[in-house]
Amino acid sequence: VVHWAENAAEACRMVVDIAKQNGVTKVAKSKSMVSEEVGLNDALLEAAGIEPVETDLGEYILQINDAEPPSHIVAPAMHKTAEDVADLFHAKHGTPRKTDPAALTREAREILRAAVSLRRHGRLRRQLPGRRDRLDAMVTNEGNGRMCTTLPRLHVAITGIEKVVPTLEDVSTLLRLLPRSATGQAITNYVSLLTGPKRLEETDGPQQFHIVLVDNGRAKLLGRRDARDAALHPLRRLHEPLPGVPDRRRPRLRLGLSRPDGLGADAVYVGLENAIDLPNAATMCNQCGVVCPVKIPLPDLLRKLREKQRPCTVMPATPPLPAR
Amino acid sequence: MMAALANRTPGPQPAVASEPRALLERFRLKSEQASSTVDIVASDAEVPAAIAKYLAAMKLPSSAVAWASLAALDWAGAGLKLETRGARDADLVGITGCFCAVAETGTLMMTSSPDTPAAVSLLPETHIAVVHAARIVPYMEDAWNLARAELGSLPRAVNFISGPSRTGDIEQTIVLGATAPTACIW
Repeated sequence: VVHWAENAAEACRMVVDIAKQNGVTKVAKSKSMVSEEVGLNDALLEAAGIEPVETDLGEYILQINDAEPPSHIVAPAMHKTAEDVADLFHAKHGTPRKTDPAALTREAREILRAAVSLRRHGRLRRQLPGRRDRLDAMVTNEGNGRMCTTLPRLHVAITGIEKVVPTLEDVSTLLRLLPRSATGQAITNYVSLLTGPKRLEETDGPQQFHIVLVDNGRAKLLGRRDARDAALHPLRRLHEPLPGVPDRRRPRLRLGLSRPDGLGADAVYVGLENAIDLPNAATMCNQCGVVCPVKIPLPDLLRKLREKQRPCTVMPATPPLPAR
Repeated sequence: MMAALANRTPGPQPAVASEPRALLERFRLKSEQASSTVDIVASDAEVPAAIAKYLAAMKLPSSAVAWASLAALDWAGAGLKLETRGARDADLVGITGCFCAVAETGTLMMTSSPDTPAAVSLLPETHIAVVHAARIVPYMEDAWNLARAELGSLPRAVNFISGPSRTGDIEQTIVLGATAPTACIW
């Protein structure tokens, strides 16, 4: 079943309704930037009392730390040291304190595997739904996405409309670009393409398969030259983690953005007045422009946003940094 | 729009030699780079003994859950006990075939069906896949063409697997075995 969500509230309501109709109380989630954008975790918890569990290790670390926002779209817990995670796991799991990343990963693995097999409702991001072949594609390294789509009874995929691509050949091209640009891998360890619910006589797969396509302002941006390139591209969010891009994690945490996302051009989503520091937080070294596999002229876009700030005198005013 | 949908021209691809021997070598190299192990045997008949040897070397049990398509091999002769069913959480070793394999990235393509349950390659900590060298294609696009020719339409799920589960989420230290299988051999 394909659902079209005009805005964030509608997307959340759709997922909550699907969950409620099926008596779901717990949800296993694969990492999803769109679900961050629409505030799905809060909606599930507050509106419906449904408990979401993040199954990506980085997202899980943040979730059990009182739902801390992610600092990086690929490595959400990048700002945490192994010592931080050791303290957190010790406090939240009640297990002996350990600092070795392998041992910490093992501990989380046991908990998350048990969580997914108990969950009745899996939900995750789709990277590149293919239009012609009517399917969805997703990428993970940990295999948590495969867990979420193979074991639970229901599967809800949520993604932005800009990620719909025409053919499987386009999927292959983007799969070459995406992991190379994000983590330096030629392919992620797991790539799954899903076309529907469990078929007759299959032993695994969900009984229901829902796709929620989220507009949330994207269609409107299509008409805006300055915003279009950056906003409506499947790889848009991958600008930030490119190897050549300066480390942006601390600036973004300081800026306290509502969206844990992208470079300054994301101001087109939240409105310049809500992100006055954003277009000014880049060094404009154009490293991102040089290495961009899909040729998004990010520094040009940022420059245009800065120009826009002048006449309406929306100038940066960074509040004092919170103590770390 | 319709033109875009009809266009099956692949985008830019890295160079991959297409002779069978070169495909096998590239597949092996890329798999090993992704922390898998690869054992090459001459025929299907040698598969059970090769797997038994690997399991013994890794101190793993001599029983496994497997796809039904592999049941005909002489597993008992190699001292292995095989169950052909969907996988359960407690299973330690899963043995599967694959639809085909992609040399470019050292990737297995798994297509779901009642006879090829996805959980067998997902739940057990060790996943062993039997790959026929003739089924190694250069690119993912070739795998799509093979699927169109042999299956007609895509199955419920296509899972591409390129080595064991990994994460770098704690201090960007790569740790294998985050949620899914920790070892692959094929």
